[in-house]
Amino acid sequence: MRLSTAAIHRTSIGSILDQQTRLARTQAQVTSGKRFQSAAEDPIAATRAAALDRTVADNKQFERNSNIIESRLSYEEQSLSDVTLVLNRARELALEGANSTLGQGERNMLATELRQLVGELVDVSNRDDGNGDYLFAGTSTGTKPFARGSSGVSYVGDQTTRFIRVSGSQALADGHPGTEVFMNITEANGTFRTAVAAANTGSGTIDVGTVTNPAAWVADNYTVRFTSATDWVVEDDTLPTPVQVASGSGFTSGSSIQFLGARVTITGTPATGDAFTVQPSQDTDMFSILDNLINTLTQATGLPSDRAVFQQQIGASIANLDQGLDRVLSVRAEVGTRLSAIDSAANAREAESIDLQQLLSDLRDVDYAEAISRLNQEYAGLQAAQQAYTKISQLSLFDYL
Amino acid sequence: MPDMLGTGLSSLRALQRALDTTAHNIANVSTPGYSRQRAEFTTRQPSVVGSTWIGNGVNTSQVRRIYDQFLTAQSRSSSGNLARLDAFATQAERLDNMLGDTTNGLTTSLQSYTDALSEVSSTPGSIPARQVLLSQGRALAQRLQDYDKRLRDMSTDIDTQFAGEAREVTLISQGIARLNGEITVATQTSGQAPNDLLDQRDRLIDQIATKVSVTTIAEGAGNVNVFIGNGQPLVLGTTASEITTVTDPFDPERTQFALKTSTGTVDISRAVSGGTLGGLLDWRREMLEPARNELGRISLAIASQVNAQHHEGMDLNGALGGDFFTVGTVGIDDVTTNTGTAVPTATRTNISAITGGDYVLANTGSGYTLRRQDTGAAITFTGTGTLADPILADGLSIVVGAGSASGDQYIIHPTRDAVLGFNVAFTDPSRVAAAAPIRAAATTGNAGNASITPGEVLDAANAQLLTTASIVFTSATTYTINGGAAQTYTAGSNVDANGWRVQINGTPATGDTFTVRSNAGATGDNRNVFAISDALGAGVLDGGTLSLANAVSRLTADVGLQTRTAQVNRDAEAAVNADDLDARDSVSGVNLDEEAANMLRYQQAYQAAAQIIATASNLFDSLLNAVRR
Repeated sequence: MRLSTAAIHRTSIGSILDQQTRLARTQAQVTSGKRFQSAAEDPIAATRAAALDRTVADNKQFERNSNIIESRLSYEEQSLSDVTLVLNRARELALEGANSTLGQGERNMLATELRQLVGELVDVSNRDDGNGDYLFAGTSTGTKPFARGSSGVSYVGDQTTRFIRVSGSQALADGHPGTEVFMNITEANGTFRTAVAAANTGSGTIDVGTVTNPAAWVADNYTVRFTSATDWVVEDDTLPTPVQVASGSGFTSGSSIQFLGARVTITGTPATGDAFTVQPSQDTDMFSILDNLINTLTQATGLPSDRAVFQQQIGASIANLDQGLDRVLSVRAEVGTRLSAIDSAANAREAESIDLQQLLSDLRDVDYAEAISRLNQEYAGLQAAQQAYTKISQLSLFDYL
Repeated sequence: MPDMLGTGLSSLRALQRALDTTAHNIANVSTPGYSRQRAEFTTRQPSVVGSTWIGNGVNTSQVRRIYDQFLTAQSRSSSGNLARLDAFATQAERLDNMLGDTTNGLTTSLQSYTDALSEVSSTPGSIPARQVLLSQGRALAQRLQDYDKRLRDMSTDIDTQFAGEAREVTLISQGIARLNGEITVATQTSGQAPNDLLDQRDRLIDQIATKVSVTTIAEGAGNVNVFIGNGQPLVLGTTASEITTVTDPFDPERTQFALKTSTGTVDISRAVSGGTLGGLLDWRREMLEPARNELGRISLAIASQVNAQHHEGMDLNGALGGDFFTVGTVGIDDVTTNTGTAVPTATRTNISAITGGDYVLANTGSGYTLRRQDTGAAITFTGTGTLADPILADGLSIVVGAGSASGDQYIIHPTRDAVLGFNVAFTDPSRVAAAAPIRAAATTGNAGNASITPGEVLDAANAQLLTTASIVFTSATTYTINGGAAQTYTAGSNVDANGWRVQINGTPATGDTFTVRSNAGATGDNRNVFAISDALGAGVLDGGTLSLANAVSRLTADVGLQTRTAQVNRDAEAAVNADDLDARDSVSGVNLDEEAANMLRYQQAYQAAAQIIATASNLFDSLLNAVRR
């Protein structure tokens, strides 16, 4: 084909400009370390990298969240451990107070220590997370959750639990509202409460009892009434007319009475007409449990019937303290589970993060070995194009005229 | 009578012309659009001497322009295409540089905002965390507005460029018209084609073809008529029309083209294609406007998702949350030809149904029709356009009101102006509604083991929402709310009242009480901000299939892909155009070596012809000498 002079120049310059463009792009890749500088150079990879970047950023935020929850749960765990100490000490004091050799003065001393323990418990329950946010106030973190009034300690926080995300699919609670820790504790053995009737004259007392057959138990109010020193009946008082549900004879101290899946043991000598009540358990709270124990320890035990009431109440208090300890234990177990969930989420994040970095690097980072060899190649190419151009443009027939 | 002297002289004259032409070629080696010329020789009429014909020398019949109509047309067409694709790709690259920035782009701003939400979620009572949330919200708004402003600027740039290009096309057309006249006169005067004028005219047509696609038709002795668009005359003989830019009657923010001819002004914007103008128009239609609309749609979705949930929350002062973000309203433009007086208004009723496209609402006299402005597709709607019965379609509610005349048209931009008014609605960090407005609680001392869920808000506008309500179990299977009618209890089923909903689970006992009341004072409650985070992460666009973060990525990716495609197309067309130019130049272009050889050839022939004169002179001298003796 016939070539025009202009075309020769145009082609040569065009190829030099092309080479320069390619060289500049490779140079940008090498200097920035990125395979593409804008989405247009590799739209698919750019979009995927942006999505991965989002996951990386999310993970960073999840890590921050986890640290916050972890710190709050650690504060809670510490507080719960302190609550356990208080309750255990109270239990020791209760056991000591149950000792029949103790005089009223000694019991009053126990009560004094218990009053201090109540104060301590209120302090623990009003602890904050180090930032001034109360740990056990639910979400009313600016309100002191437990207030002592004339009728004991009341809860003024709310019952809302706060959830915080620790991974894309998992949100964890960062604490427990006070109601779930200190309040709403089912008293006595968890099913029913026992009591010695106030009018009793004998020395018979009743233990907290156990449920031997939960299926047979009917949650009604019952009275165990002694019709003689050895004969007894159990009546359901829930209805206006009491209904007898069990009866027995040949009672001796320490023998158990069973009815409707429940078993209670009465010790001492009940007088004829003495009664013991068995009623469904109600909810109480840790502060009331301690307050009741204090009341029990400070009441008179002169008469055999007073003694019987005292023994029953001490027994009930110990059972209540055990319920409280169980509660703390189960809350601590939950805290532990959450802490381990945070750990496993952190592990998963870490593993994911390594994968993500690898993927991002594959997508976005330039392969230096390849890029630099390409840079050299393009450099040589540009040089060759320039040399070729200068050589060819020197050729002219006019030089020979 | 043959004559050696005459023959020699004719040869000298012809070769002189050839050398002149060669010199002209060499002089114009770098002139764009120049076609090389060649002096064409023919032998002169021979004379009869006796019974034989004796030649009489040479004549220059013409100086021919070496030119191929087909190759010229082909290179012109590919130059026009290249100009179109280059204009598109250049603008696309601008957009890509703006939106494709992965480190400082919209994605990052959105991410920072959601991170700040998460931070408030983990420390709801913290004023600094709330302050950060507001700052990040403002940064996001700033980023969106910044993008929107740059897109608007690009749109204005384009309009300015249009005006400039239109002026240039007019000037070139006038040049062509003038050359038409000169060529006609020159052809008639000399009977020969005025080569250099033809080249100039071709060059001007080439230039016009890189601006806008035109068709040319040769007419009569020397005229070329140029037509634009669907055959509107740009140059007819020696008259040129004027191209101007006028404001689009359908959109005051946009200019379009009109052709001013002797008979009036014709709108040619829909017919304009090809060249730089076509490329810019394509780009505006295919990239700029969709990007602006998409940006508007994303802003709207962010605002509506956050606002809807923020309304269902309670701030640190115990008040219900208001709007978190403000957005611009739906833009409605009157078409300039409207005769009625109605001022229509439109509101958005359902963000997820909003498409991002613009609509044209037309009054047919007996009712209204609604269509997409870009595709022209008819949109079905309900309603008659009155305040009581607004037109409802695609997530919009349109009230035309009284005074609309038959034939009136209104352009509705559901998303375009959303970004303009996008900002954080308040500055007081305590007004971030991080908490849920209500709290539910079981009353201490409940005998049963039933529990109540924290509750959710169904209707934040309910006036009774924050009024304390008691749910009292009148038996194990029935309950009343605030002493109302007894309702049957089913564990886990919804209990709705006063705009809230709770569920009660477990076995309640008679007399058990649950309360639902205002959550004022719950400074540590994060339920609402948690819900805002979730709402932002959820699919909300395109009927709930597209999340905001993905919409932002998709915008970037779409622009990236379109840019990539445009670049590939441009590079391909550049190669085609280079080939076409080479092909044209292989015929018409000057080659200096060739000219050098021609020069050598003509020079030698000229010298030989001069020798003929000398020889003739010698012969004549010999004859004279012979006679003198």
